Amino acid sequence: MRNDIKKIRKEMGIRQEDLAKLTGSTRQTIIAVENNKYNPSLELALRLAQVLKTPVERLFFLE
Amino acid sequence: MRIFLKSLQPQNMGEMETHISLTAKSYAQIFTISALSVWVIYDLIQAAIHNNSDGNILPWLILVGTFCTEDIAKRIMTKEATQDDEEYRAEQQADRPRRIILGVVVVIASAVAAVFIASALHYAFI
Repeated sequence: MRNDIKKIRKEMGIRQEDLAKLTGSTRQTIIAVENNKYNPSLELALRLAQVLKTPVERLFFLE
Repeated sequence: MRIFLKSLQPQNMGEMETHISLTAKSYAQIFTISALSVWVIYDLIQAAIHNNSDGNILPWLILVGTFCTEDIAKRIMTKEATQDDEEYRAEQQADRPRRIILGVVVVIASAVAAVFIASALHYAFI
């Protein structure tokens, strides 16, 4: 699976730390998710979609 | 090593089975650590009762080894998960001298504390 979280986050001008705080996770988790090292839980995926104001299907893609 | 460890896990585990397996393993770890702690305390009491210093160092070693293994494994896996991020890597590089100094201070303080505690236990029970 891959995602566009980094691209959308940078477009919105949000730092990794801030995104981590807003989604209730840690910076390391956000880094691992952005770099496709870790697949987030459903809850985290939905929170990311909410914070980045993007539907989940546009954030995450099956390869 | 990683392939060997992975081969020890049951295959064809779905997400829920993996979560259950991890939770069950943490309960098993709590049991093991509790048993080792009881063993250590029992040994100390036996040494105090029989007034000898022929204590068993094995449970101490296993306990310390367990905690060290967990800590080191967490650090390695976290580093692997975050190493490809340029932003994070640049910040870590800038912060490296401070972390090295802090690491040295922690190691020295731990060694001093360990010697102090060992001496105190030795004089308390012998």
